[in-house]
Amino acid sequence: MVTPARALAGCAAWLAACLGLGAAGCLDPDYHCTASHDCDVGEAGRCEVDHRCTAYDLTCDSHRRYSDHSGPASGTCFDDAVTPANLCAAGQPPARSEGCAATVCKALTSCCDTGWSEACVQQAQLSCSDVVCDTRIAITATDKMGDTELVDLTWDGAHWMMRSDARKGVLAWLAPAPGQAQPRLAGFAATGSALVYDGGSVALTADRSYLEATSVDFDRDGRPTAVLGYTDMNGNPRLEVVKLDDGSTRSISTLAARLSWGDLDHDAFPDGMATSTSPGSGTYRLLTNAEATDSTRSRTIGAAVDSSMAAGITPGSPAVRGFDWIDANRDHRLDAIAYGSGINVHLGQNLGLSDTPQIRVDCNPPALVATCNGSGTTTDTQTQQSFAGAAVPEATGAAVVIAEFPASPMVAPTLHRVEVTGSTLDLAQAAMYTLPPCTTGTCPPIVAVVARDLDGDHQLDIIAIDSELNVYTALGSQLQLSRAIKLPVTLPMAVFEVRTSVTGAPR
Amino acid sequence: MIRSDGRAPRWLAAALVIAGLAAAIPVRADPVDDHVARGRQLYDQGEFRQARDELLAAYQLEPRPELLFALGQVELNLGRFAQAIDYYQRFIATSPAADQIALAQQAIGAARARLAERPAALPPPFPKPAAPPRPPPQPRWDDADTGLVALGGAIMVLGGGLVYYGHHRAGDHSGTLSQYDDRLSSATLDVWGGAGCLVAGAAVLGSGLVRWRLHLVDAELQPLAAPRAAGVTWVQRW
Repeated sequence: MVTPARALAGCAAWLAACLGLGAAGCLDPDYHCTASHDCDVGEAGRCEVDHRCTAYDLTCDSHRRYSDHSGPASGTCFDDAVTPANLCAAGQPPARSEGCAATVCKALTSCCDTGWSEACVQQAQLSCSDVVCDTRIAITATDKMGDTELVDLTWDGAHWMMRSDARKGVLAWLAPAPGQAQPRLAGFAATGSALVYDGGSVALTADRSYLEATSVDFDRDGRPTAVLGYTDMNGNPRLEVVKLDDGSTRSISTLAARLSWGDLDHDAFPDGMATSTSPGSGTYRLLTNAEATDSTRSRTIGAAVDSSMAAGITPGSPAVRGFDWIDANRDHRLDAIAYGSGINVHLGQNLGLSDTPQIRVDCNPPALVATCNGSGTTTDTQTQQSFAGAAVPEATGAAVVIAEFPASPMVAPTLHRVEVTGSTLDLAQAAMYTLPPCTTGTCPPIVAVVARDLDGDHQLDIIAIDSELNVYTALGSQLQLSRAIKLPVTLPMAVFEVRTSVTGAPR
Repeated sequence: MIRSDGRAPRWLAAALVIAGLAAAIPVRADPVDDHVARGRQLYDQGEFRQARDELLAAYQLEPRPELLFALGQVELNLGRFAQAIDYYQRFIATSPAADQIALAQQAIGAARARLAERPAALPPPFPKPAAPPRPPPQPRWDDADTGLVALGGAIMVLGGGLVYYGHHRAGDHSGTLSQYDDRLSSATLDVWGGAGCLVAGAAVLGSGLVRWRLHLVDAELQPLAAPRAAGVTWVQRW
């Protein structure tokens, strides 16, 4: 007789065997690291933000491949692309090509290949009907003595709001934390010994003079990364790569002022531009993100590729005001524009940006350098003109808004909108913006220009700031600048330059 | 004179006896007489078994001495010589007339001669009773089965332990990746070894169960009798 007990025993035995085999088959190794030193298999092991190890592998775009025992990702190329929770904020890792980002990346490949830069935000505002952002501008106004006025300026879609900030050095917007939507306003503690941002802080070395705070996925590791510009105690410029999640830092020796990030060489790693900390130097550097040749394979800045403004420095203005990124020649790659004593446009090429700009602009009215210095239609010399500006992508083209900074205060400031035609600026067809009448006889010059969609109509609007910190706006294709708000100025001396750090959040 | 087969004298004697019976018994509608009459008729027809039955039936109703002689004659014709002698002797014991005694003794002599001539025909053997149906062979649990199942179970427990231990080690993410890799390698061995043990254990355990199930045993109880003992012995056939 087959008793129930014996039948049960037999079934249990086979069940146990099946479960055992199943258990053996289900052994799914999934190692979770906590720090890069945990990843000691392969070359230059690194612990990624998902707590899995990668090792150096040149065959991957990111130069990283997941190690064994990384769960389902084992053996695949590491990719830090994300689905941004906030398409209105720059400085994030590259976006996955889906939804609005897919549209953006069709126009600008670097947005999905390299990083989500301000050019990507502008393209999203133009191309995506569901992207409507508020506008937040962190303003750092500096006088000639280096004193700063820090103002947090926000347009919420209906009103301008401003708030003075007590931090030191510079005020800048950092990208949202991974998975979050809110960008983080950052500045340096009064003692200079910490980067203080919304929701956290990172201790810094106190004997440094910090100049810049930017967000960029410099290492393509998807971790929240800030790159700071500073000069050390000997006055040498440096970049400091700060991991906001663990506070780790590393320094890179290179130019460090007016940091701006885009893509120079289309190698999937973000590149930047920066200038000297000396206001009188017209030299700026193309910061090529390169790989250290040592065993760490860490990212650094490659050999110096410098460029410079065409000619002499305009009195009363910095030689280099800043940089901008736009696909000027519609080849779906970012081109770089440098503003200052002249305007230099570096058009992207297959092999990356050339250190020699393809377009040089100077003089009053703005003209190609070749026609400046009294020749042709220009009436001024290069040294008598400086520029601020902003790149303005358009639905079917691109434009550059150029603000003149005449050396003579008696010359009324002007703002031009210049279309990019072919591979040059159509300066002859520039449109002129009109400013409100000046109340004090001589109008202060425009020293900063920002292009963002303020009213949600998917056209980029112009925000201009003069040297007295009056803020003007012009919506869409309008050429009439209206005064929007006056920012407080407590500096003991006249404002020398205004730097802006722009971000936003969906509204 | 007695013939070798003794048939004519027996027939004559029987005829005499039965005639005598018929003469001695008053004519009446008697069941005994009816049996006797049918017995005589059957005897005449050579149907000796039926004739015996009729005579026995009559004797049951009324044990007349002469019926004993008649039964002896019938048994003699049936070849049951010893039974015939017995009937004759029982007839003589009823103290019949001297001539009837002499006749009975003559019949006894003839029966004994036939008995001596060849062994008395044995009564037809009773049909051997059909053997009770043998019970179907039954599986029986024995020590070997117990051993196999216990061994299989132990191996399975060992295998399960190894699988659990391997999984436990694989789930330990402490240390560096290379340490984890080493640990995982040995954990993989543990797990697969454990899985092998589970399979092997299940096979052993299953073989015990299969052996028990297929290893059929004929089993029956037979009484054991002895002058001073009694019991039951288990007899099995493989």
